[in-house]
Amino acid sequence: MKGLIIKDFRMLGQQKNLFVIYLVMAIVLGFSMDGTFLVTYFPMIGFFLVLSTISLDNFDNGMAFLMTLPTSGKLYALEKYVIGSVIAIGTWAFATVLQFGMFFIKKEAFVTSEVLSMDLAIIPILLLAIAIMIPIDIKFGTEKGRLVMFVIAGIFFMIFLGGKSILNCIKEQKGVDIQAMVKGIEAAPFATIIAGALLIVSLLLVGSVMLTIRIMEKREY
Amino acid sequence: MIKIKDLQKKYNDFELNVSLEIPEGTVTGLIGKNGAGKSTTIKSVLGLIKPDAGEVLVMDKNPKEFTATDKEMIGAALSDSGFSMVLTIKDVIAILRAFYKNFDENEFCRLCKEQELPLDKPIKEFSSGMKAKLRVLTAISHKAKLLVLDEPTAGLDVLARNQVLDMLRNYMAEDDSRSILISSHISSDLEGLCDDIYMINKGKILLHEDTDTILGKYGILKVSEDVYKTLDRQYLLAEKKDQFSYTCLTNEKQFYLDNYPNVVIENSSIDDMIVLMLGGER
Repeated sequence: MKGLIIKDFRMLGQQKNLFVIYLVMAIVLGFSMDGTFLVTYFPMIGFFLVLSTISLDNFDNGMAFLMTLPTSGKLYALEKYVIGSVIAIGTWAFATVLQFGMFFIKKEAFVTSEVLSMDLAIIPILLLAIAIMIPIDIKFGTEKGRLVMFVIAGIFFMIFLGGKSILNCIKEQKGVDIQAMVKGIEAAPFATIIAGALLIVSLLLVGSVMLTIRIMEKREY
Repeated sequence: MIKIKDLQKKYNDFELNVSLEIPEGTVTGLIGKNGAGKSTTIKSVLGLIKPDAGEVLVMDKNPKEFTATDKEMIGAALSDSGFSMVLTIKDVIAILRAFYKNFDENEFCRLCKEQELPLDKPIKEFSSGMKAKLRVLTAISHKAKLLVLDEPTAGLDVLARNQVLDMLRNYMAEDDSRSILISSHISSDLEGLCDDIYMINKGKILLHEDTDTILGKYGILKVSEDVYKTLDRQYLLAEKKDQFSYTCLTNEKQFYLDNYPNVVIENSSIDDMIVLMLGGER
């Protein structure tokens, strides 16, 4: 896996100009907008750069050659999760430090438990994005992957729109009051909510890793 | 080194069905037209595709079961695939160092310098000749036991082709237990390099012969229609009717030299063989 990690960091290194632009944008936006935006924006950009390594790997049929190197489809899949998580969490930590620095410079806001909670809540969202995006990108490629993401987003939107009637239907037919359960969760201590979210996302990540390994092992070049 | 028995792979309008064997210490060429099945055969040797039927053994192992250590013993160059174009050779060196225990960095850098490949320039700015040289240099950089090369000289000028072939000759000269499987549709490249040659057409092996035999025993007969009628045709492999004459391929040149002293008999090149075997009647 070491070789694949070095390859990805080298490919990301070739996009350092993009990194600089994003960094400048992050600082400018961080100053002009709410600091939490920075903590959301910066890690997502980092993660999308990791996804760009998948499209670079696929470009010009490059995957065929990669699979002749001393690695395997399984290791390739695992490596994308490792580098995706490392970059997303690393950039999150960097953005958090940057946010605190801005609070200090601007002397407008303070590091409150609410701010910390908001920052911490980004981590499960980042991991969820990794769990969803990596198998889609590896299976469908960048172009088709975007289309699939739109379809998935559309499905979520439809569920959101019809959410109340769906919840009522479940309550009537199955006797399960999900709204009451959500209210119960909201009342729980924040640490418990984050821990629960991390647990669910971790399970999703495991499923996502297994799916991506299966995709890679079935793939022909 | 490689044993392929009744390998079958079916695509929409193409069916591959080949058997071949490459012993240790030999250079074996795979020739045929574009779309003949060379790349599919090579991809199955590298484990990049799953055969529908048949058996592929590389160093006594199914390529799909290769470990990283097994793969370190193979060097591959594909015609349409390589390292990402955004990388530089310096990046490639760092990657190869991480992948291969036997990566010879000094020798790789020396050869890059010899072939005038810049270390700091992104590969996307290389000419097609430079890219092809880099692919071959990458394949030979880690002292592999087996090289599998798909059209390594495609699209190169004569000079660049000779440089690539020289690299391969030097690679073989270093260790006589090494083997190479090389595909090409430029047969002259293979004449001076390969010990034996498989000719493939429409997914099937048409001919397997030692290169020395092809160059020594095969011949081209050019005969008039009248002479053709009297000719003993038992040693003719293929024939092609021209406007006023016949061009025939034989694998027993000496027989016709001895028995038909007035017939024009030329030495056969692999190109002649391809033209008659694939374009003539059999």
